[in-house]
Order: sequence, then structure tokens, then C-alpha cells
Amino acid sequence: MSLRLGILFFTLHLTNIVQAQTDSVVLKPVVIYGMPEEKYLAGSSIEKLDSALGDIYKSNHLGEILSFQFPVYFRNYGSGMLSGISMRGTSPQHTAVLWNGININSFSLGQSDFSILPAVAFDEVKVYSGGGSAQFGSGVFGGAVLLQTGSDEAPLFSVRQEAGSFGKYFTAIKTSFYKNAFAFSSSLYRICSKNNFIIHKTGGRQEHASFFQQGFVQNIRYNFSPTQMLQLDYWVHDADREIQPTTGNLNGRDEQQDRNHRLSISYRENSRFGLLKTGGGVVNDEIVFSGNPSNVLRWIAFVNHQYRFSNQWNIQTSIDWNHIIGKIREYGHEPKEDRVDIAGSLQRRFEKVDLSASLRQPLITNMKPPLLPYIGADIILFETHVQTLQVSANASRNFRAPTLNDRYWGSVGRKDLLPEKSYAIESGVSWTYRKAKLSATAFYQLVDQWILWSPDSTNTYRPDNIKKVKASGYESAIELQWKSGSFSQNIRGSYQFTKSITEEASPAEAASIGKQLIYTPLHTAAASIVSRLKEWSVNIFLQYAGVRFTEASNSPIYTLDPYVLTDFSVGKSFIKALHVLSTQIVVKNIFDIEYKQYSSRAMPGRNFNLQISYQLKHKPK
Amino acid sequence: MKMNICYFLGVCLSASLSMGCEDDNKPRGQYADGVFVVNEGAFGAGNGTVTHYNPTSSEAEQNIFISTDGDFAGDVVQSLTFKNGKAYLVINGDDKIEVADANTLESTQTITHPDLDKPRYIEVINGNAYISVWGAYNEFFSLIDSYILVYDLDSGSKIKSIDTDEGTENLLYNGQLLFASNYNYGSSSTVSVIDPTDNSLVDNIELEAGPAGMVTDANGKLWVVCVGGWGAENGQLFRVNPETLLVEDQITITGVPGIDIATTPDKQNIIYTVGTSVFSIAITATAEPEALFNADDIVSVYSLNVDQANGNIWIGDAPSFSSAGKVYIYSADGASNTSFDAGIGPTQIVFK
Repeated sequence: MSLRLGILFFTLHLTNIVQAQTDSVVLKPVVIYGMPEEKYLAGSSIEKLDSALGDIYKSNHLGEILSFQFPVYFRNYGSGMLSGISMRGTSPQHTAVLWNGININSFSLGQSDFSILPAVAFDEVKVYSGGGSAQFGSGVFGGAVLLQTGSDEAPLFSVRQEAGSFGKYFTAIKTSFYKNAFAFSSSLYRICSKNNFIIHKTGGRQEHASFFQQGFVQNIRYNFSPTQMLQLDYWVHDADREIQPTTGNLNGRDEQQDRNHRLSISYRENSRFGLLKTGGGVVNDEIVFSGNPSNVLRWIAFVNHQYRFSNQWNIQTSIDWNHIIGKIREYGHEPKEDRVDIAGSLQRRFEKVDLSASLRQPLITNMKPPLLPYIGADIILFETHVQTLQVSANASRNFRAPTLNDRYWGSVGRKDLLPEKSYAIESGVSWTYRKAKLSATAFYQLVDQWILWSPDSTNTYRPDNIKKVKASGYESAIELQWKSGSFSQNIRGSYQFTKSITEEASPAEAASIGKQLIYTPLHTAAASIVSRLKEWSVNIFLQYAGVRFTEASNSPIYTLDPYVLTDFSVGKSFIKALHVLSTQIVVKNIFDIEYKQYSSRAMPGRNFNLQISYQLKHKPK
Repeated sequence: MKMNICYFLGVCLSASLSMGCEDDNKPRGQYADGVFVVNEGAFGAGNGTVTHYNPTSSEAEQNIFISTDGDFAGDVVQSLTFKNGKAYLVINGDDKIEVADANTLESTQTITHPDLDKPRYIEVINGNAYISVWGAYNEFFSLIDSYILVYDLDSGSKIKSIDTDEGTENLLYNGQLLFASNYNYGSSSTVSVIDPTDNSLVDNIELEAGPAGMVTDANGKLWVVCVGGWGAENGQLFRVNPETLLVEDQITITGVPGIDIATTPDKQNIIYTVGTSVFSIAITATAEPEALFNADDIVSVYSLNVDQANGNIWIGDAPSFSSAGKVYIYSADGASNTSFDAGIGPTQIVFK
């Protein structure tokens, strides 16, 4: 870490000099590094989305992409439809999605719909696995997906057009430039698809599944001085879709519109007293389902301070505040809820040991969330100039606040619901040898007070803390890279085995006791082979999901069969000075397999996507 | 749509061909006898099924009817009616009716129509299908236009829609009139009476909130259970004279009754449930009886029927819609029981 802070100060200093010396329009940006999430999470893993994946699948949503790299499962309710993530044997509401540090899970439903998170909207996607409530707040049992917009590596201008099977078209335009103390980046995108793919079983076309999405992302930074910065991030995303019906339903009628506004304004100041980050934001999530609107408005404020003691200890303290207003008719009124999180973290890098500990106390209107500790360490056992052997371990207590629906829905919502809580531990070993990396991790998590909606004696559904689940497993990953002249190749593979077993449940859910959670595969795997020769690239991406039960007692009648989904793409770039023209052909589901990610929702067979993009790069400084 | 028409014609053609080939030596089919359990499935998962139970061998077979385009019968399988050698499966979530051979349960036809919007039950009278249809929701997810769709099965065309109160549900044909209980989760309170000879609406019998299950007793009288509105603490049993269409008797039930009722084989008693307690009320009674027995094994009563051969009481248990339910078979006095696995949400038990 000390290295990174060094870079920070060096960059600030250097930039100042550069600015003073030149009037060039395009300048190296002024950077005040945000503190990376990894810092206070020693003993756990955060991995970036592979850049090749991010580039090729810009017009796809994250629920279609992440499973090509990470051993995670998405229950996609059809193609382009509602998409919920399952990480480490947990349910979709147990993974938090953060955009520029703000939790963007739906506060009424508890989960993020990954189908309205198109890859094009983000400059960086990272996946954190395991219990992490002490760092990221509510709902981090399986992990967290960390999205970032605003990058200093974006080209001055880029435009991209795609055309694909089933009437899919995608257009994106982006510009990023820096002038004096300003850094400015905007992007616009639009995706539409008839999505009338052929259903394998009947040979007929899927009807009533078209979708349209568009969005706009704006990032502005202003540097008052080399150590003071004001930053604005804004993202609006619109989605309009017909809801793909179950196979056999020839008469789909439902449709859904989503509109999400996310705005964050922050001020950062670096001084001898440390790095201060403070700001606020507003998030507005609107869903209109077949004409029935729901709206959740959230005001956010935060203060974060980091300081580095002369004895190499780093300390971080923060306060986050969310004021939530649920504007949903079924609530009968507009419930307002305040959520305040007070957190502190310590971290130190010793010679062979990186150690961190965090503590977070959430405070929620009429609720008593638990105190959330995290402790973790990375220990280097063996290190030479070509290889490193490291062990890692962490332990945490985590929680998930009940959703607004759980608390306020009509006459069945319960303000006295307890938060879900979990205890998680994991331990792993990783070995790097030159550019090869091999890792293995075992994990265990006990989730208690799990909230489910289940019918009472009059068949009325009510939420209650009725389930206890033990999720344990093992995951392993390998990454190999080599380069020879103008040829390079990168191979990745990951595998996870997860047993996610209900230990206790109410009588209505008794069938699930001792059984694997539904839509939670025992086995998941991902693999990719990315090859480049000069301006050519060839990519193969695979994802595997083992058998998934869709019924609580794991009845074989209702299982979804395992599948391997394979995508293939080939691309060529033409580079001349600052101009880059790229074309790519992507063949998705190249073996035309029939697979399902949710019961009775068809998925497309082999299909094609043609891409062309142009980039104008910044002049090198 | 073009595909659908071709497909539809193809199915019709193959159905007529197979009928033409039928001869008397053909085996009666593995589903010629037995008990059929209709399982709704989880809403939106398309996994509604039909379970077949053979009382002689005590064997249950799951998922016996698979639609031509899915892995199961469909999304929210609401009801099954056997008539004239055909099985009519009403698929509520898929807005269609699957027609199958009554003895083999092999699909012969799929009925779709723009007016089949959330169909519930079907009765076949003189070659015409009478289908209770919930119709469209408004933006508050309240029903706004329910009706009985009269559909000519021979020509495959709509004859007319007979408007009812919202949430029209169970159908009962007593040989003269067709009764449709307008349930709407307790927001409607009438039974519509239809004369199939001219498809006219004869009357709307005003009862209390939530008319649901209907049976006829030994005297041909119509019994209707009303389950009450939202938050109700009482239900009602009505005895209606099918000639005069007047209420002859009303019995208040303590607690919220289940939506299915049945008769004992002699049709001198009506069987109903409240929670997991089973009651038997004489057709001459004027007050509610003590419970016949408590079905303690059951988590949530979701369907009820009585075997007219021996009086055994069959109850479908749907503990939740994420897990498969069970059917419990109680002896007529409730003293003993056996059970078998069904599908998700066993909503109807049909004796053949």
C-alpha cells in the first residue's frame, strides 16, 4: 500500500508541474486516488472483470457476462429479463451492487436486477467474494459487485455500433477530455432487441420478449488545487421491456419499465491530516410493472477519512447516511427510513503479513442491526523473484436489513422483522509463478434469521425470519499468460463447489430442511482463452452450471439440466496513430445448446453479433 | 402468429387422424382410471403439473401431461375436467386450455383465444365449452371484467361472453342450469346462473363475500361456501334451491373455510374445512357442527374432495409454492390416513 500512496503524491506533484508548463488542450488528468476497496479487506479476494470480456460484451448485461469469468450463477428469467445473482451459495438479495461506492440494490426488493446493468455503462467492474458487510454494509453475504464509472484511461472520443441476431442493435458514444483543472467524461448508449429467438423445443419464435434500454453517464471532476477535488457522477438508465413469458404461454401481456437516476457529488481533500472524502447523492429507482408504478427515493450523505500513521498503520473512519422514502401504493403511506452506518478500519502491512480489521455499526429506524466485525490477513509464506506462496484468511459477521417490502407491504409487512445475519469464515492459498497464478479457497457461512415470504394458515403470504442456511464450499482459480513476440495468450479457469443447505425452517418450508437451496448449483465453472496475434484477437469463453433444483425438496421432476455455454469471437483492429478502428464477430452459444437459467424460460440458441468501433486516443503527453 | 396457426392446424389434423384410426380393441389407456391431482406449480415458473394416483397399487406418477412446448403442463394449472372422452386442462397463467385424450392424457389440441385471459374452470355442455375467465386487471391489479366465455369446441370459435361479477370461479352444471361462483378473493358475493339452452344470464344470486366451492346434495339442492372478504373471521354455507334460485338455508362458519367443499357418497352431508380441521355438516342442519377431525399432518389445506366410492376424504396440502405438496387420504371418519407426493400447489383432486 505504501507504494500506492507514494504514486498518489508523486502524480499530484507531477501533474502540477505539467500544468504549469503547457497549454495543451489535452492534459494528463489530475488524480487524487480514491482508496481502493481492497485496502481494508486483507484476507479476501477482489477480482476485476477481464478487459477482453468487458470489451466484447459491452452491449450485454452483467448477468450474461460475469459467469464467463467468475464461478457465480445468474437466474435469468429469459433473455434480457430479470437477472439475479447467486454467489457462494446465497440468494440474489445477498449480494450488494455498489456504483461509485453507493449501494444500488433495489431497497424495495432487496436485490439488483443485473439485466439493467449493461457493461457499457461502467469503466470498471470488480467482484468481491464472501462476507463483507463490515466494509460494504447491508446484504454482503455472497459478495459485492463494485461498479465504477469515470476512468482516466478512456479515449478522447469513441463510437461503437453493433448489430446482432433477433433484431438487436446497439449504439454507444463516449467522450473524455481534460482541460485545465477539469476532467469531463460523458457517454450515451442505446440497446434494442426484438429478442424473438427460436425456441429449441418447438422451433417457433419466442414472442413478447423485446426490450429497449438507453442511458447517459456523466462524470465531471474539478481540481481546486492539486490536493482538493470536487467530483460529480451521474447515471440515468431507462429500460422498457416486454416480459418474456414461460414457454407454453402464447399470450404474454406483462411489461415493465425501469428508470434509475443515480447522482453523487463528492469532495476530496488530501492534507497532512489525511484524506477526507465527503459528499452526498440521490438515487431514484422507479419500476412500472404492467402500468403499476413503484418508486423509491433515497438521499445519501457520507464522510470518510483516512489517515496514515508514521508507524505504517492506516486508519479509516466513515459515516454513511441514507434517508429512504418508499413511494409504493401497497405500503398505504410513504414510509421513511433512516439508515446510518458508522464504521472504522485499521490496516497495516508488515514485512510478510498484511493485516486488516474493521468494525461497522449500522443504525436503522426501529431496528437493531448487529455490530459487524471483519478481520483478515494475507501472509506470504514463501517469496522469491519468480514465485510467491501466500495464505489468506478472514472472518466476519454480516447482516442484511429487511427490504421496504418486507417491512411496509400492506397489512403483511412487519416493522419488527429482525435483520438477517451471518457468520462467515474463509481461508485460501495462492501461488504465483511468473505470470501464472493458482488459488484455492474454502469458505463457510451460516446465515440465520433468513427472511422468506410464506403462506400462513389462510394462505396469506407474510415475511418472517424463518430460515437458517449453511453455505459451505470450495473454489479454485487458475490464470496463465504467455507472450511470444506479437503473440500473447491468456487462459483463465475457475470452479466452485457449493453446498447450501437449509438447516432450520418453519413448518411451511420444512421440505427444504437438509436440502440444497433452489437455483443454487452445486458446481459452477468458467473458463476463457484469449489470444492475440498482432491486431487479431480470438476469444473463447465458457460457463458451466451444474444441475439446479427449482423445488425446495430437490425433487428431480423440477431440476434444470447442467449446461456448458460457449461463446466464440474473432476481431481485428486497425491502428493508425491515435485512431483505432476495431471490428469483431461474436458467435454466442456456438454449439446451439438448449439451456435454462430459470424454470420454463427459454434462452436463445446460436446467435451472432457484429461489432464495429472507432476510438480517437488522447495525444500522449 | 402464423406459426401458431400452422401449428394449431397441424395438431387438429393429427388429432382427427388419430381419432379416425381408433378401434374397439385399443387398450383403454394407462390413465383410464384413478385419481388426478392438478398442481398449480409456482407462479411464473411454468411448472404446473398433473399427478396420477392409482388407489389399487397406491402408486403416484408425477407430471403425466406435458405440453407440446414446455417441460410441464403449463404455468398455473388451475383445473381439470373430464368430459366426452376428453380431458380439458385449464392453464390459468398461460391463458390456454390443453385438450387431451381422457384415457392416455396425450395432447390433442391447444385452445387459445384473445378472450382467454386468466381462465379458471371449464364445463362442457352440448359441445360448447363454458369457461370462467377472470379477464383483465386494471393498474391496481384489481379485476375489472370477468365473464363466462362460451366457446364452440367443434368450430373452434367464440360464441359469446356472458358478463359476471368479477373473479368468476367454480362452475357447476346440474343438468339444467350452469352456476358460476363469483369469488374475487372475497370481493364479489354472487353466483351467476346461466341457461345453456340460450346462453342467457338467468340471475345473479346474492350471497355473502367470496362464493367459491359448490356441490349439489341428495335433494338436488345447491350448496355454496363463501369464504369471506379480506381479514374475515367467518365464512358462510348457503343452501340454494336451484328451481327458485332462492336461499333456503345459511350457516355461519366460525373461521375462514377452505374454498373446496364436497359431499359424502350418500350426499346427505357436506364436507368442508376450516384451517386444518375437517367438518361434516348434515344437509338438514341449521348450525355448524363440531369438527369431524383435525388433519394435523397438513400444513395448508389447498384442495379437498371425497371419494364417492368409499367416502374417503382427500386433502391436498400446499405448504408453500417453492416445494411440492402432498395429498392425504383420510378414512371417512378421519381415524387413519395415508399420503402420497403431488406437485407444487395441489389445487384440485379429480376422481375418474
